[in-house]
Amino acid sequence: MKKILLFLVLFLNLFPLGFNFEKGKMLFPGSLYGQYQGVEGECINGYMTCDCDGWILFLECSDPGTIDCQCIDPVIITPPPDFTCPICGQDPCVCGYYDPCSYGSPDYSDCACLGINCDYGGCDPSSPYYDECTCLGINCDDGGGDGSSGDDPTDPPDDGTNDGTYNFDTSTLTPEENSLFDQAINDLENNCFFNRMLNSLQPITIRVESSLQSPATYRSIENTIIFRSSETIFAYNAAGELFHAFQDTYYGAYMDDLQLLKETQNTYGTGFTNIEFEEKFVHLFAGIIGGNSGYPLLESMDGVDAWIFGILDNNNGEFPSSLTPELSSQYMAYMEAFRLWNENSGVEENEPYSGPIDYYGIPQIPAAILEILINSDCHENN
Amino acid sequence: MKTIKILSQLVLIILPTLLSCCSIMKRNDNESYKTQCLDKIDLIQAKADSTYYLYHLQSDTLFIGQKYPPEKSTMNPYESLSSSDAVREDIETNEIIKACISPEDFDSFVDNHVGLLIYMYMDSSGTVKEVEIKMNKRYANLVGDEYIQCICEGLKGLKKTIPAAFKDFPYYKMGHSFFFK
Repeated sequence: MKKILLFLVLFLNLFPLGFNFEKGKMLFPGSLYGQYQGVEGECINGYMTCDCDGWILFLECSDPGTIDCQCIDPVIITPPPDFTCPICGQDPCVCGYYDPCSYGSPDYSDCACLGINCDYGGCDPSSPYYDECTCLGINCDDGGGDGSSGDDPTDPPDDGTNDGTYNFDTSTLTPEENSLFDQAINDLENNCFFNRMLNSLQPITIRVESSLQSPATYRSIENTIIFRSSETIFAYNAAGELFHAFQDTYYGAYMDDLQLLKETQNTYGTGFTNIEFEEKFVHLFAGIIGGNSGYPLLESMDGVDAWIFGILDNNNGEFPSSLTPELSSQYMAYMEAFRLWNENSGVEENEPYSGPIDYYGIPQIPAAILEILINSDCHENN
Repeated sequence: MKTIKILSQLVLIILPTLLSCCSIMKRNDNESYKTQCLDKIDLIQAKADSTYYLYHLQSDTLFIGQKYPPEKSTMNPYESLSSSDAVREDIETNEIIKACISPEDFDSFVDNHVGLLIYMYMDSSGTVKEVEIKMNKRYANLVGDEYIQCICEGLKGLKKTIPAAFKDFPYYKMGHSFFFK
């Protein structure tokens, strides 16, 4: 029961607030909704369906039998006058699973959550897409303006160290390494998914370190991608590490915390597998949706490519911008299979992929991938 | 006179046969049409489930159907899962697939969002030896067997770079998705 309650609370992306407005009701930050009991669901094969006042929830459960759904009370409770919503800043601020302010929600949207104008190309200074250069139609290339494209809130200003188009500091690379990195970027630009990703990255330092054991790595605290040698600088490796960089921006401090844990306690913390699985997933995803591409078949990812292909194939070549609970469960099932395979591989180097999966602190969907997808034109190409 | 009669009869028999088995299959980079003669349909549908057909050539039985990865084959965790030639090789693969489809059918496939999931099996030298194609049953009437066979045959013999992580595999399998667009 405790597990179900915890799951439901975190499924809705809510955490105990620490104080109650009304005795007997638990409240959550960003939510003025309470929790009530009395609605029951039948737990069959690890899943149960709950009807909470018309909201149908599809939940995971561990023990077969009838279980209380721990529904959320739809009645809004009047907050004290000094109460401010810690997430939405709105009143009433509903931060449930389907709320635009709920991180990981299918409806998550900065713009809708903050109630600001997010039209592309708008001249509204309150919009994150606002760009003076675009708005005024003036040339802001090198020597004027900040160099950002003006159509994307995630397009950062030029930090003065980029290689021309993106914010990559490649100053320590040799001419040969630089050329290979440029070629890798050119190759990725031809894939509509990776092209969108490239335009959403924060400044990243690129360097080569021959002592590196793996072909390439991303260090989130330093925002740095390291390649082992010129031989490992090519599109596939660059795509994987650049995607980690995007995850780093998208998931906030999550990856920094994992890196710190590894460096201070030599432990691959809970969630490391989530991050790595999404990176392996993105290669298949981008290959299938973003361009007609080949990909290696990994035993640990058995069936994932056919699953992605099937979703597109049954949806007129489009991938949904959010996942249904069933698709989310399948995604997590593939992640668990990936973790298990690595755990049972007996190969020490697979340890990063066999740690505990995070079911609560990070969305149970490929959220970073979907964020890139919904801002891309890959749907139109398909 | 008798010889001429025999010859003309032979021409009458051979010519229609040739015309029926040859069709315009592809338009190459030089904008000229290439004709391809299909001796016979050598394609089999295997392992069809409720939604998909899985096709391969009848003679392709060495790797298809075998366990992958092969027994005792271990990926090298310190090496790359792809190669620096992968993007160029993908383009080459896509050109072969496109070349099999007549322009008018190509447009129809685009309109119908036809997608193919292709698996290529390579020997240790990186030469594609066998090809398997998965396609939704609903496209079976739209995409003729001759197109599937052309793709299978076209991809066989193609050289690919086996990623360093899989260098020790006796044979290597890779996926390639293709949506007509």
